[in-house]
Amino acid sequence: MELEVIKEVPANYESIYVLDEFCKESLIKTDFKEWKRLYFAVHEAIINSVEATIKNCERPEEKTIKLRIFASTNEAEVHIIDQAGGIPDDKIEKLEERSLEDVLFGDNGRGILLIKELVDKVWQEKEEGNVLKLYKKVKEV
Amino acid sequence: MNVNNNYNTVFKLSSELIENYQVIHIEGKLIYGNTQAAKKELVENIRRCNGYILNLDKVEYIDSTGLGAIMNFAKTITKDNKKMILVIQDTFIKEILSISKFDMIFYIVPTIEKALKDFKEGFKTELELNAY
Repeated sequence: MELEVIKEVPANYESIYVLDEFCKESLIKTDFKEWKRLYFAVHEAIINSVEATIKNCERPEEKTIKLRIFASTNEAEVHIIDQAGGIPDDKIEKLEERSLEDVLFGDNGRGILLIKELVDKVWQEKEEGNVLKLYKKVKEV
Repeated sequence: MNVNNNYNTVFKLSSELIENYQVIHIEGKLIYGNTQAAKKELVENIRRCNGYILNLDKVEYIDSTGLGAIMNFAKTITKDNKKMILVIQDTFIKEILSISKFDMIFYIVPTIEKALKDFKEGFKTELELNAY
């Protein structure tokens, strides 16, 4: 089964749960085998998106976050769209150099590193807002 | 204690002393929105004992902030030179801990009985928690 769905919600903490459930249901519906790993990564990305919107945007209560999901049994791509400006380039460069061992003893700082580990490809683009794109393909046995 | 956050996700924390080891049971979701309360509850419930067993067997889901809560607890007990064993059966949670390299510093077993046995017989991890 192939699926293409989109959901837009206010950029607030309550929406994390709403988008989590939407993502989970959509991926399970398509019988996407790697849904747990992708769902985990999407959850982390949604947290970052909500936090960035609240921190960086004027009138965050008027902002939204969209989740766009393209999924089939063998592959899936999830877009997290916000108006928070995305991850700054210098931060992305630092992320390339860091590993989960570097943050092993920290209480935080591992969310985006886990995203990198759990999906096959992660990148960001500017479209109608900032779009973080996560792609995962089922490994062939 | 039950903690219910705005996203209708609940975690429950309880503890018991078995053979002078404190077994802390966490149930529910250890995720963003819960984890500040979890950190606080975990530290406030620490009792003087020989070591700690964090039973995550009934944890339905964990995210990066939940991992942070575990790390925070571990660093707290390490100040008192105590050790901790994690009890986990869920394969995906174990995978997340492995990807996060937690298996380098935390000893992970499938049951509380095994944790008690290994506490008595001794165990080693790749890295010591007090290395941070």
